[in-house]
Amino acid sequence: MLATWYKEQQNNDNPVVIIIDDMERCCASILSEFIHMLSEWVLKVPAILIMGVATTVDAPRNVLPSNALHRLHARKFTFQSLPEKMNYVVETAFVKQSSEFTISHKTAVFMRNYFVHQNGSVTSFIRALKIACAQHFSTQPLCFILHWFLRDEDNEVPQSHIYGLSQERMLKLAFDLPSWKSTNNQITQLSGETLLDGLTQLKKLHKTWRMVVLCLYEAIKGENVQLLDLMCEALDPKGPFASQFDIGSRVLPSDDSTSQKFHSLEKNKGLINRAIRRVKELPANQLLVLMKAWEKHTVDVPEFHSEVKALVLSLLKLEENGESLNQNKVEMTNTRKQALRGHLNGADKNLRVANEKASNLVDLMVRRYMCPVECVALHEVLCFDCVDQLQAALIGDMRRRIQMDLQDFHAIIRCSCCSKRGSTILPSMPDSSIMYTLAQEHGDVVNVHDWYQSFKSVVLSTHMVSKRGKSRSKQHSPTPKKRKTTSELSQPSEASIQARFCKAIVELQVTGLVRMPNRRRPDYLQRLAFGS
Amino acid sequence: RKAKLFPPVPPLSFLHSFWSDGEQTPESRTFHSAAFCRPAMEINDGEEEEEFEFSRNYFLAKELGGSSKKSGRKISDIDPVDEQELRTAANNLEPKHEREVASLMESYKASYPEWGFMLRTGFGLLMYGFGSKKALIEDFASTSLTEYSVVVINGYVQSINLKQVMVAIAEVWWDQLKAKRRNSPSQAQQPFNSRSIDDLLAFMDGQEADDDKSFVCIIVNNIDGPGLREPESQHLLARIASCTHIRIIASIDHVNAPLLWDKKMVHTQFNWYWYHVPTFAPYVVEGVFFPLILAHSSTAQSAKTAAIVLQSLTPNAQSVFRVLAEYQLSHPDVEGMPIESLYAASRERFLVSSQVTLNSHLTEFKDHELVKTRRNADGQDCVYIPLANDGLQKLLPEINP
Repeated sequence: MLATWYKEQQNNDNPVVIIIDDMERCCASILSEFIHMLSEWVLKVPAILIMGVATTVDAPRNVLPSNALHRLHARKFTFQSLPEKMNYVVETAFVKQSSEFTISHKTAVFMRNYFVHQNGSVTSFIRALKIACAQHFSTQPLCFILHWFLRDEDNEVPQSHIYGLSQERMLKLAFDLPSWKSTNNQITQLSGETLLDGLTQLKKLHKTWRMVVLCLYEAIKGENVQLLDLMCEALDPKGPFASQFDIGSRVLPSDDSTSQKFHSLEKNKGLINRAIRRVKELPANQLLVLMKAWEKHTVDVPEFHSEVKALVLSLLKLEENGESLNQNKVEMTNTRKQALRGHLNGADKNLRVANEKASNLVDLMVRRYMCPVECVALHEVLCFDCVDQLQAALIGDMRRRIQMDLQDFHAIIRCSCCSKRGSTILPSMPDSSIMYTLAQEHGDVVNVHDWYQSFKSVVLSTHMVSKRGKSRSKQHSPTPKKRKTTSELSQPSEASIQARFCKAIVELQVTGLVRMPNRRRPDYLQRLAFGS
Repeated sequence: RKAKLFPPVPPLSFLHSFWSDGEQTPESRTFHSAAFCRPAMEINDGEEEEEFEFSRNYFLAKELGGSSKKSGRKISDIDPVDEQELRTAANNLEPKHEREVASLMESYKASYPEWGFMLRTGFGLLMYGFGSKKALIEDFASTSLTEYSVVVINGYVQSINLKQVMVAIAEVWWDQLKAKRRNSPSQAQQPFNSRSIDDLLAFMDGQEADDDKSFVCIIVNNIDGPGLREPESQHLLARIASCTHIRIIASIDHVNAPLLWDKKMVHTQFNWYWYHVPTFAPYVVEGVFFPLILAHSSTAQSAKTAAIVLQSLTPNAQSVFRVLAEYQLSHPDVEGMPIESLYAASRERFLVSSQVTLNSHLTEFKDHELVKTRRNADGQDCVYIPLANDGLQKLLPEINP
């Protein structure tokens, strides 16, 4: 086999790469023989072996015999840890300036809980995100505006006819959005320009929100914090930071009225508060690093950018002074030491000032610019909010749903004959539903005979019902007389009742809710599901 | 009640003061419960409640099953009708809620564009819900997937040869490629039958038509059916589904169907997008291989088998059997007919000429399990037919006189 590989090797410059997905699953002796063979041919067929290890780093030592190990020049590579990967994914998908698509607070919380409680893999998170995107694009007719955002044609009204929607229809859909209606009742002239204004504002606010979240994240990066948690807090339209972004106003409130409100908030909770506190308490060198990172992120927002730059400069100066002072520390007399102490105190004071400035800056950012997208008009265009739909597509709870289908069939079928049943078992119900409901009265094992008798009595109660109540039958069918006569005549035969009973049991078997009798218990069926 | 973000567990001294105050404010309540709950995560209490409900019902049912007196009734006490009659009745049953079921199917048509979109995006559609979804899926395929090739696998049959299925899929894909390309491809194709599974997968996963959005759609009715439940089958289906030019739509009915797949299969290979589409359509084809519970009751079965066996015997043997049956019916309380009486009666009617002949008949009956012997109170050997009287009565007309 190796010889044929050698013959087929087209490109003699590159070594052959052999990937073994899961090393522990391989048979150890065969793997070691394989390594043996590779090592013998290594001059003619240079090979790199990449082996995936699922358990610990010294697994190869446990699996392979020593002669095989000797022939390997091993290098270890580890993937990024799960939290790091998650942070990277969330940063790229939502926070960095890539796309405008975002998710609502409820959706973010759901996805975080899904990731933590159900399925802690990044793949499943990304899949959930893909499903959210797909659902958004298939249900929101204005989602083409996302494309318009990407094309950066901010000065032109979106040309919806390219996407198959008339301009009028687009305007109507946009101005019918709940977020628009609740924020812009006063505006009467609804035109393309109004829409353009609204979309520009949306884009701008979303951009600044992303900037603030990035900056906050930089502040607490070292503390083992998940960006997704921070994002959930920042997205909350009813959270403590969003209360100042009244959904009714497009103009952000001034500092004085809200500062008191802000300070009265519970300061000890939440990641955002933690970030703000941290900025206040950072030592000089770390503060400098943070401010440099902020300089990069705030490029698009001039008023912050200038302040951040100023801070960076002052911190750099501080650092230089600090260094020169430290250099002079060694050769000093007492008087000089006192002078030095004075200088150092001055340096500390400057640092505190810098910390204070940075903290005020971040306060300002959070208060004025961290506007959750759900507080902005027209946000439905780029914000996905159908958590139920997402959950239904991701998690199909088979066991519960099938039983609910049987129990609450009326919600699906919506027939008139079974509409007012309450908790009684009506004969007009689907046979499987009747059987399923009857089975609930038994334990985990159901006697076939008893089940049949109950079923029969339910089925035959049609005859009794129609004889008793003319008025009731009038409600159910348009021709009560006819119904009465036919029901008197067409009482189901024993054979048909038995046939219905058998078929219903077959259907319950197909769904896995019951199991057929076995030799030990030939007259009993076993229930395998016990309701919700 | 919904638990909000919990604060960290407070020191004991705080808790002490909380208790002494005696006043429960909402915050202090959450502080108290924080000590016992999962920290720092928003928990959906509704979900937990449901899970508890499920396990509670399980234990209640087990308890009820154990504690209550078990009814000693047998299936035969139902007095089931003849199997033929049962099957005829089953075939002639009128479906209930026909109109509503039809309008439910119609209502799903509005979702066909969305299903098509999700399929083209790369998701595998998993349809679940009570009722047969075969007609629904096939209607969807015939209306919305006309530009793609479709291969249907019926998972509800007892056994399926997946290799043959793969060959069929590869051939369909090959035809589709040829149709798109118009000119015949240069490489000579090895017939698909002789290729290995890995070769076929590589072909279906190939890079040939990347700019083209075409694919082959595979419909698996009852992917949880008996023919596909083996792990190897599911792994192979997963590998097929993960090919770039294959899309899959499947239906499941069994409540434990999700146990067939591991994480990789669900999220990466099949990439399931769950759709709840209860149809309440009857499980006609899916239930074909399930036996009818009342059709195979022991009495009916034994009488039937007895009749079949008897008809293969000689007329004399049948008449001897008739004599025995008539005796048993007229003497229900006796253990059986003494062999001497049987011999005498048979001789009277010229059915047997000697004891030997009778013995040979009896041996034949015993071999076919038509009669059994036991001793009565007088110590005589008796023969009896191990059927209930009603079974015997049904049997008698079957034997020629």
